[in-house]
Amino acid sequence: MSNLSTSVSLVEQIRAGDRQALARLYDAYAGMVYGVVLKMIRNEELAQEIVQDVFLRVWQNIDKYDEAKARISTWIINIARNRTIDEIRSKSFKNQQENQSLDVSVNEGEQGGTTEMKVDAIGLKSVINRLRADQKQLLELVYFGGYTHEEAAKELSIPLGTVKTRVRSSILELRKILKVE
Amino acid sequence: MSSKDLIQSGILELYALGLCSEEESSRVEEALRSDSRVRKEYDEVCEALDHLAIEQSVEPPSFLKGKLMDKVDVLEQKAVQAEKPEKAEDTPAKPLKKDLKQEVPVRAIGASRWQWLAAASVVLLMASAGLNYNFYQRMNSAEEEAAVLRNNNMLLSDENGIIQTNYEVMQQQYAFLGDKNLKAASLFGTKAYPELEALIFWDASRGDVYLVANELPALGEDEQYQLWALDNGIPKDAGMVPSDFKDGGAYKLKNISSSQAFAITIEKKGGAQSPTLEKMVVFGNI
Repeated sequence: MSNLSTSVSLVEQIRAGDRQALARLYDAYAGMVYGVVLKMIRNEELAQEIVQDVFLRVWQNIDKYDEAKARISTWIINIARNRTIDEIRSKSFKNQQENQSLDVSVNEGEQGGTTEMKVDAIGLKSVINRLRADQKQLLELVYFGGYTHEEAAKELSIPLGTVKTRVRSSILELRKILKVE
Repeated sequence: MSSKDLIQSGILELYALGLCSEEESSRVEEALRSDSRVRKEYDEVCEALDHLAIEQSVEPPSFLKGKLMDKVDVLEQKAVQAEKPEKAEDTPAKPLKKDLKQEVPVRAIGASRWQWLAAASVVLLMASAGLNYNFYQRMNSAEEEAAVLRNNNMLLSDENGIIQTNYEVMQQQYAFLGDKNLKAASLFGTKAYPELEALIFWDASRGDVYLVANELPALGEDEQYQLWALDNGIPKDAGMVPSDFKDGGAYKLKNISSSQAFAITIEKKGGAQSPTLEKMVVFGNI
């Protein structure tokens, strides 16, 4: 799906206003976007809203996408992460979280069993679980948790400088694992 | 900053995560444009991060795609409408129902003067609200940053105070080093205590004795180190090393006017009349 030439021509077609091309882009990346958003926000209904929003933004902003700057997958994920972070920081989301007791969210998780199980099954063999515990924790915070590095430093009670070096070492480790595979 | 330094600083990773300040971002973007090594490193960082996302994949429900494409269609219709305002003027009586719901500000065509003004004021109000919100956000983040800086500043100032105090204590403790008549002797561990070590500074003319406890382990509650001066083979009490001595600390003990060697024993708290020889830990000649 990340075949480079396919992505480039898809982008060209979307720029030309081809809705079918957007549909194909959706087929290729919706799973990834939905998975990331779901992991960040843990609410299926909201996650589905956000996925639609992300692809609408892709459609509207495709002219701002610069192939020379980023791969299309990176660009799309960043739109998804930013959109979800905005949602998490929004007042309505915070209020909703407060109104929802822990019990309720646990029960919901059980009801929506199929997706939850899928997430877990994937989670077990994922590369992030092969990182050292401290590296995994930090990457989870900054990549999926929407934490800034200052917030992560506070959350983990480590100095800001350590956060920076640890982000780098975790990603280096990821790269090493991916290369071996 | 060289490309190697930039790569090793970890800033590329932060940039890829969207965690850089504007200033940092433009520095990274400049390097990405001009330096192929930086570019390659950055691509690999992104690839690793993308992998994190890809392996999270969960298929969304199938109806979602239909909903999305409907929204795209609506967007496109709006865009088409917006491009043909002239036509809309010709047929103002027949707007599509859908558009009535979706559109508000665009169809001001053929409107009277006050409608124009109302529309303009709404736009202005919205722009001003947006601007306010933007400023408010910026002020908040500036305040947060200021709080972090204030906090760091306080920590630094605390640390500085501690260092200053330690320095003054050391200075006082070691003031004797200016004494010209000073003789120094290393006291080495005895057979039973080979790891231990202490230093003696002694001004024979004045009798001042200073002990530097550089390798003396802490003792139990009821024990204390006692220094002895050996004068013609006879041990004389040269004073007790304070129970709360610190590693590397210097302590002035009793005055000794004549001695050829010094030794330290472990004694009961308060000291002994004569040294317990089997508990002698260090010894050295002057």
